[in-house]
Amino acid sequence: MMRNENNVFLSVRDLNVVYTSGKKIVHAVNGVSFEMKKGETLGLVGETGAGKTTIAKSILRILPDPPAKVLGGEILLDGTDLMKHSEKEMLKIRGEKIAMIFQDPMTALNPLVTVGDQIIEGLKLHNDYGEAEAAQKAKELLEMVGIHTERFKEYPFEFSGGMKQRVVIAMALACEPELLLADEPTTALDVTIQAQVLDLINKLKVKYGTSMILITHNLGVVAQTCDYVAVIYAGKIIEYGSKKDIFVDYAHPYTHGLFASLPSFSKDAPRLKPIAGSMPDPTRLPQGCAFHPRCPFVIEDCRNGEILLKEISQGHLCRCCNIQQKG
Amino acid sequence: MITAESTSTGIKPEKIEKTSLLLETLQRMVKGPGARVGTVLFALIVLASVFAPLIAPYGPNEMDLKNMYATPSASHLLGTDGLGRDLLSRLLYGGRYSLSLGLSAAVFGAFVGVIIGSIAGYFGGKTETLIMRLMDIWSSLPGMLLCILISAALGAGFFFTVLALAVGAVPEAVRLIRAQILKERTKEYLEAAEAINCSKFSIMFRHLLPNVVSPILVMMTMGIGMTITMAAALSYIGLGVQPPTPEWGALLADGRSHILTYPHLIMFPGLTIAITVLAINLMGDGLRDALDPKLRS
Amino acid sequence: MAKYILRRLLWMIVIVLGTAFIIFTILYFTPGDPAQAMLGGVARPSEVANLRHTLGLDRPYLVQLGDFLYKSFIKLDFGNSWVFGVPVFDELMNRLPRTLIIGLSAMVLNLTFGLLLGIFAGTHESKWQDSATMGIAMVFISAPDFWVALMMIVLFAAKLGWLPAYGIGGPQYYIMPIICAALAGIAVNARQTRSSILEVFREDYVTTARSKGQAESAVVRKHMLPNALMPVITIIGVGFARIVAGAPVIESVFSIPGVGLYMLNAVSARDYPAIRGSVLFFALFTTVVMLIVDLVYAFVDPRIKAQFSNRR
Repeated sequence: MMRNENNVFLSVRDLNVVYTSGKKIVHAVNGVSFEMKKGETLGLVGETGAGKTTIAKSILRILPDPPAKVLGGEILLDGTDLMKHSEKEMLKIRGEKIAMIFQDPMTALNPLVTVGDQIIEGLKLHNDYGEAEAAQKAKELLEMVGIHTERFKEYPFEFSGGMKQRVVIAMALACEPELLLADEPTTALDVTIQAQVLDLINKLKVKYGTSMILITHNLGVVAQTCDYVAVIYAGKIIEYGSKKDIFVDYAHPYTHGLFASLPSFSKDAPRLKPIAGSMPDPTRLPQGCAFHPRCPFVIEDCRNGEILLKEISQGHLCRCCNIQQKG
Repeated sequence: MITAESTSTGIKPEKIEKTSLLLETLQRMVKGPGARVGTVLFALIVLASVFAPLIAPYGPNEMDLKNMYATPSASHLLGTDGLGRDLLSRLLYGGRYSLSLGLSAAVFGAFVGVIIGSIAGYFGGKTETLIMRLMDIWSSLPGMLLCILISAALGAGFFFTVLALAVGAVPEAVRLIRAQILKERTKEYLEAAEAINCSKFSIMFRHLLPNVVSPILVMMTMGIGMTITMAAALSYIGLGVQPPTPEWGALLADGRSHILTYPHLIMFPGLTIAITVLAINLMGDGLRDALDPKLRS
Repeated sequence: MAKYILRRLLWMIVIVLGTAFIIFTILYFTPGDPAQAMLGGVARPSEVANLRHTLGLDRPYLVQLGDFLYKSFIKLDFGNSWVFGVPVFDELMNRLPRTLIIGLSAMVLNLTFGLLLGIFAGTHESKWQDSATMGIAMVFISAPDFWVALMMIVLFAAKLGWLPAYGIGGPQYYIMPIICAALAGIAVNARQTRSSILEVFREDYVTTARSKGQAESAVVRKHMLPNALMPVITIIGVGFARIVAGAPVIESVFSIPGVGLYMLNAVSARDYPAIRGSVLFFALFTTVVMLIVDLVYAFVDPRIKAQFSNRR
């Protein structure tokens, strides 16, 4: 659909997810489709509330069932549709084929269980290890993420935020998954620790050949780690392309706004340039293009009908009637 | 690149309506069905007691010696007791005592508890330790036991009973307030107030307390239910208010000896207490949900 | 760890001593002369004075206090009951088993049913099982326990004749008292456990566990329950305190000759030694339970345990 290549590893087609809260319906994901090749890193970029985490959790099918509801779509992993899997079959996928790293390391670990035991839990679920063997493997994982193996029996509260995130990474990679979903893995960390953790993720990615979906709102992180980028707005992909396509040849007015809002380090700037307005209420999305109320280039066609994702150059797609391609 | 002059239509910021917090809380409180039932029921009970002289068919001590121990009938809707006194009327008048006992004790206990707890929580250090240790000793005799002792020591009468009931409630109030204050103490708005030279007491009362007021309110509301029950228990065992005061617990004591023959004397007063406390608890639950910032839309 | 236990034990002793001091002082300053009350209005002043002397009531406050503390704690002698003349300590020992049976059995019921119902309601949030359980819990929290006791007597003793209404004898005499004492506690426990479970439901580490491929039942067992049960430990301690507080009234309703009823009778009769003895007994009980709760936390919660272990 997006690129005419074989060797597609993950294919998400027309994913639609809503959250019901009382009488309100929140349209979180509205027809998202993308594909990934083995070993590549896809960045999902967007503001908070755009639907990125929902997409990731849908792939793993760990959305809380009330209130979330998947209305439709297919998620093909190596050809099999995960949406059609029974819960029992999904148990084998989670942790083994697909693993997830969560946003807040402070709350991602069970405070009452030692760090070692939490890693072992994942190991034993998908392998036939005995107790000693699992412990050994867990210690190796700890070492791999840069934690002293003596800390194997320590509890989460004895670790700092950055170290906790490393534990979470060790847990996620324990069974050598083919796909890693990283939900803002560095957002809750200090900038210096951010760099270390990103570095670690990159190294491990290369070592295991893992494909990765990296969710973030930080364009700097995207630049460091991603091969391809999808910009998400109000539950839809509004621009997609390679890193170069998005960073150099961006086309969608929203993407324009994202890059324009980054302060330049070389020039003085009297004011920051945010994008005017705010994200639409997900219970009442606007007609036509979801961005049109805020768009400086809005034309009549933007207000009605469904705007489709069009290919503007090889592998670079944009969902806009009035594309403003830079360069 | 987008130029600085944006020609976008933009979205105008919505006008924020200023409703009073009290009204908003009350509105939210009666959203849930339970809270609505509870509030209405409680209001009815309070009104019935306040207007007892107008509603009650008989006086609370009016004796009808030809009709003793009567079971419910048209002339005596809930029957009569051993001295021919109409049970319904006694319940209505008794409500005044039971409700006012419960309310005063809960408010008084909460008030004292808040003051002590605020001092402990805000000043911290040795003061806090000392106060919490004292609370440990204070609560080594749980609720009802302490009430019994103090009521026996002070003697009968309305005011003393309120005192006895309030004393039992204080340690829990203190613990709750202190825990809340511990949570808030580290927040920055307090540091900011200190930085502009507010006095410690001013910070405590004008900045800290309003932010911990919600759990206090909820605790006090639930506390009313507990104090009403404890007041009834006190009367039942012969302490607290004295006969012929028709306090609900006293009515239960009256009926005790004839429990096997005239159960209606036990059933109705107890049912009244149960329904009243139920209404209060429903209200309290609704209040707690209404004040919970996490549930605010 | 041992140091912590020792410190808590010492503190417990201080609390009980403090309570003894308080109860003694309250009684000392209570208006009315016990000797006068015992002899009645017609007694002559010399008789009253004699009795006061015999009972040691004419000594200064501190002497009486010291004597009381010494006798109670060192010699375990609470004096003789002013009403019956028998040693208070012996009476307490006689009555202790009955109060204990009711108290401890009610605690067990609190724990098991409270937790089970709470978990049941919490794991079926917003469905009918949840509303029904919480509704019933609400009713039992609101109804005064002694009234429920009276109604149960009407139903099971009077109308159905299944259980005896008063006194003690075989196990059947304890069934209703235990149930009545436990009801409110079960309801409170159920509600607390449910909130605890719901809070834990939304915790991130639960999602982490699921994302590892852990089956739902194991997620509940290994991750949710242990964390949800932490705050419940305190509730259990408080629940015990409530049962203790309710003992006098329950024993009064069912005419169980336990320590609670003893205290009530002592209070009406102004039998000071008996009052002091029974009050101290209750205080000791409550304090011991609180100590146990604190120790359980220290053993079970790794965050607290770490403060005392020698590891770091």
